[in-house]
Amino acid sequence: MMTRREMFQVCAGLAASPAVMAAANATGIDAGRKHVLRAVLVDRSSEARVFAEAVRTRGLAVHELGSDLGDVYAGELAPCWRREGAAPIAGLTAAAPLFYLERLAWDAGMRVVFLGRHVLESPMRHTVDGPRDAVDAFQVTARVIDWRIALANLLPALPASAPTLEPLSAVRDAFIGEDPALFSWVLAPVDRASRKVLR
Amino acid sequence: MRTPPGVSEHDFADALRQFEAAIGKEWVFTSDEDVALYRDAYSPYWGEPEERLASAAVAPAAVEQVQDVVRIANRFRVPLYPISTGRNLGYGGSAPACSGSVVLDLKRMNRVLEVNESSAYALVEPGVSYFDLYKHIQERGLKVWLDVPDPGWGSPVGNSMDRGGGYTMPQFRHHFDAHCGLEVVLPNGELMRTGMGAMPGSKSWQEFKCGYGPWVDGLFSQSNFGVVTKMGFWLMPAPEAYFNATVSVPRYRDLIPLIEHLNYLENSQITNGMPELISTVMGMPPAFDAKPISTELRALIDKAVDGDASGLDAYGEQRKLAAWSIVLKFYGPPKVIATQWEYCKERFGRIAGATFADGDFIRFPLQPGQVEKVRKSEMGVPALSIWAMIARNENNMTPTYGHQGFSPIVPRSGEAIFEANRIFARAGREHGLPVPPYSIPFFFWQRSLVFIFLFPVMRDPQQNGKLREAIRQLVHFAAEAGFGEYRAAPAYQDLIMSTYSFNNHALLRFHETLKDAVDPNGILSPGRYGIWPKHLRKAASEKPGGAA
Repeated sequence: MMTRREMFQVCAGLAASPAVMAAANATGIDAGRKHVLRAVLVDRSSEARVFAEAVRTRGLAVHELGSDLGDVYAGELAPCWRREGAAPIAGLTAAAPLFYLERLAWDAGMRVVFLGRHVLESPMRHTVDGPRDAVDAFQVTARVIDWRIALANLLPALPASAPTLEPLSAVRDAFIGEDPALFSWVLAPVDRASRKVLR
Repeated sequence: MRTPPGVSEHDFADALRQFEAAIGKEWVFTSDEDVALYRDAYSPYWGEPEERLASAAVAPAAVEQVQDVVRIANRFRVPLYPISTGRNLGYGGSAPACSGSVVLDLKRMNRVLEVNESSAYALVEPGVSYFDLYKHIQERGLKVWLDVPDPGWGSPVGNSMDRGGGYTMPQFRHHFDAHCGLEVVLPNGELMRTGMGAMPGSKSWQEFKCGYGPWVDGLFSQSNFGVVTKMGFWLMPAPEAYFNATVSVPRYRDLIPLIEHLNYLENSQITNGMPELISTVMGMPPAFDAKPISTELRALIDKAVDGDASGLDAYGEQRKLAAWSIVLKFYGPPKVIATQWEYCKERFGRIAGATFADGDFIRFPLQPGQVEKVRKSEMGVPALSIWAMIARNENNMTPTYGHQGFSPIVPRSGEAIFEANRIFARAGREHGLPVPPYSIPFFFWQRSLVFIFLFPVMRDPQQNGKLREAIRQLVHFAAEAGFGEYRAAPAYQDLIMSTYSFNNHALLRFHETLKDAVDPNGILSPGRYGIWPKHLRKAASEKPGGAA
């Protein structure tokens, strides 16, 4: 499966007709290839809270990251991965939590399969990397509805067998930069990743 | 595919096939995608030819498999680089000290073999993380504490072998000092146990450190003489309570008696937690929370560093800001703590103008919801909160790609803190090195202080080159003053080892003599902490950062 990286800008407050909204709410991704997300992690930014609310209405568990990433890791993720094996998670966070979650997830045989950088300026700038149809879907929907809602629509529908992206440590040049930004991401199991047998 | 130094592609392919036969094909990683996971994200040579990169990785699940891997490596002279969890970012992560090495990833060896509550010890494998061991203890309701580093995602074995530190009582804070008994696969594949473990059927492996005859355990830390496959640790009995309190003194030079009294109290175990030094007048709260300072204050600090603290003292007096404060920590029964604190006040009260403030009092066990509100590292609870301080925040709007530490050890005295600041602040001013105007040391170790300077790593080779040069100069200035680093990333290990040069580098020559004797093929972690095997020694000595 091909991956695609797209950069685009969106003006805030763009109005859209109901017909466009309906079209935008459909992700256009084959429903037969979906991940089952075990958890969605968000930080405490106002942007992430809007996303979290949208995710909750879609029936997914949301965990808010406090000052210690270890709380969610030790309390939720590690027990889940131990119990059920590698299980995909998604999030909208700053770069640092993702950087460390990515490394923890490696040991459960998981890799980043979708990565978006959202620069919090006007106009918003998005750089999205992942499966071609997911990137296309986000690019279309984020132009007509709130990008956080577009993201919430997209994440549960990401394909189950997405190719892995380069480790975040390797792509930070392109993704981190000096602008304040949030990162949307999906960490998912891949067959060939280094694995650790978690007890 | 990258190949190890001096090993042909044909031989390396043969070695990899034999690794696969020994431990299973799925646990030998050779694809670019898998090997990339072992890059050091904080490498100061990122993307440059000198970046230390692995050729492959192998992940055995048992001691016998480690022995097989070591024997195969000997057959083909393939260098191995053992890691436990490989998460010591800032000290090399999981990348080898010598490019082309095969990472020996021990994460699958993750069994907690024993936790003994009564004698307060644990025996673990290298892949056990602090989180794993904490969970094991909590699930069983055992009344023992860990001493954890911050962040706590690494392994007790790995952190101890690197001589990392923690935050509770002094006999547990130095993690290698708190170990008791090793099991080691030697470079020839033979299995050895140290201390009492050398006796078959010994009943006190984790209770008496030295055993009989030469005590060799230290040879396996910060070195490359064996692969540690089991390690015992002394744990802290769960205390009844914790208390912290602050002693403040008004004048800059009061630091001298302040540290003298502290030394007496800590060496007598009257205060038994990790002290924390703060300078309110200089705007220097603990650790990484320092905020920018005004030009006026900066000038006063510079003068104090150069020996005239009168202006800084006047500035503090006008604003009622203490020159120095020590936060003392206590663990134990409440009645004992109260008595200890009373005596501390009596002792520090000999400094004119000393003031005292009670801090937090916490009874254990922590109640649900309480653990999130305490400083976890002081309660033996592994955490990942330190990253929040290093990430983008109001005091740090330009987060970096990582950091490199420069961590010189200095004596435990006020005079030494003054001297170190003279050296480092002047190096900053006169040589344009990226050091702050004043630095406050940490009290991790029982009898010494350690300054920890964290310098940013970027993705720009030019900037990283400047950083490496700055660290080289600081190492040089520190060594001239008699201050040596306690730990470093592979990029600086040769440099720092070269400063431990008494009697024409007798210590390094001894290390090399041992290396040649126990690892004649030089297959274990070549270059780690400056110890190169004979066949790579010349190449290492000719490169400024050692052989890459």
